[in-house]
Amino acid sequence: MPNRNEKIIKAEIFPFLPATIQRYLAGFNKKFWDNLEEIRLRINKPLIFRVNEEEFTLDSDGNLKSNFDSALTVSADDIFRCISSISDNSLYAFGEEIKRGFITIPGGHRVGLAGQVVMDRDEVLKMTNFSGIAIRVAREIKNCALTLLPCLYAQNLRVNNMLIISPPRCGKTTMLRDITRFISNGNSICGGYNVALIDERSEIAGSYQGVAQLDVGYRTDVLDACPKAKGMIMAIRSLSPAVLVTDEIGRKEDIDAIEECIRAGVSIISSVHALDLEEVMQKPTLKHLLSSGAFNYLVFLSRRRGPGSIEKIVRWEEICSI
Amino acid sequence: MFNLKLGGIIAIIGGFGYLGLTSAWLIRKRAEELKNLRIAMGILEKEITCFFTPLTLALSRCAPLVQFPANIFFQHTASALKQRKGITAFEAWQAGINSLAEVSAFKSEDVKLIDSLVNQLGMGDIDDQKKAFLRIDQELKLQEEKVRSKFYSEGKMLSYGGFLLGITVTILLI
Repeated sequence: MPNRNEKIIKAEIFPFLPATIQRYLAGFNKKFWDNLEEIRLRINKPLIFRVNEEEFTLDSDGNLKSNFDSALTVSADDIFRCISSISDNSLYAFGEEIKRGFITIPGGHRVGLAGQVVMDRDEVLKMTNFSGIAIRVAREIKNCALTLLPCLYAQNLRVNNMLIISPPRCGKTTMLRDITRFISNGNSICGGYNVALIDERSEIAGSYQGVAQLDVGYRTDVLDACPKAKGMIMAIRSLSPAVLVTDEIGRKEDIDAIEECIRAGVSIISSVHALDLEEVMQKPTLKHLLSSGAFNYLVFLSRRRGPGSIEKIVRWEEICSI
Repeated sequence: MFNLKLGGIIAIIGGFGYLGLTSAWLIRKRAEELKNLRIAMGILEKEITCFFTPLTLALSRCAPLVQFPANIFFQHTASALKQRKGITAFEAWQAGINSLAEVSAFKSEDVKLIDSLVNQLGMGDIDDQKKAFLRIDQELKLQEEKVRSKFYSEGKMLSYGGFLLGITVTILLI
């Protein structure tokens, strides 16, 4: 019986791949599907699968191999067909997504696009002559944030402000999604709260045409593809959230919006790209925010035991007292 | 014998007359179908450029709203795209054109004209779509006018000419 990942990928990603590649992939084993993270297609370059930390390609007979010599190459027609399928032959309907460099497909999987970017002054006008596609498989790991639950609530059951810190590909988004679900649905510690999810890159909820494809809870309102700073202000004005969740903060306007939310009594759960606290503190805007005691807890992630490994959970007060 | 001759005369004149009338009717029908197709393309354009509706859905929505033969064309193209078998808009459009050619009075130059839209259809931004539809609208209008003027100049000649040719042939045979 096909496992869940295999079923999901076959139903949600397969139809968008060129027929030749679909045929080869059909026979792959469970382990491959369980750990598949990314499929990359580049014109005249080998097809690449990222499975955990390893990269594989196909030989001309469709066998999986790690040596890229004499690998099956992707043609311009393969890319064209893939883009046509992904956009339902309607690139015009995905104008804004293409400007941002990716399209989210049903199931919340993200398709990154490479090609010729046409600029109008400082703004991306469109992308043409597509040359590469990166399909990132969306994964929901339910209960991966279970160990964070005790830190999530204060004694008065108010949600603590929390910042998740990790390098890329360590599971920040998966963790944020699970935290959102826990807070929104309620859990063994506390009932559910209204959550506003500002999902600028459509990664947390994996929204397709505005509808969340991944489970972010019953009481979660998603502002999809909305700039974080604007979204946070919009949400506190119109959605009355108890908690606001957003991904990868760092710009000055994000920090200002977070301060505004905290002043408005809304709890914040967010994440940032960084290896450790030292690296976070090198960013002046974040240093200012952390120093003000905005976040009660800092959570550090790594890939040591696979994506989403919690390295440590630190109370900001403890850091200050050292 | 007289009755047989009379029957033959009627058959020859009637046959040639029918051919003439049919030829004239086909020109008129072609002009009407070009008009219907132009209006249908206008509706499809609005669906795409105003509502940003994906091509498959736009074609499905427009099919019941437009007149023959554009409805057949849109239905076939939409159903080819709906199968989601990695078929591109180009291939689906071709399938639609094939079904259109079977049921309509279009000539090869009309089909070529419709075919020319597919290179830009779907696979460009909204400005590209607007330009492509504007071009096809103008070209269909020109083609329609050309066919209408052909009908005005040749329609009567074909209608009466068939009967006259029938009479001429009858006289020659007698």
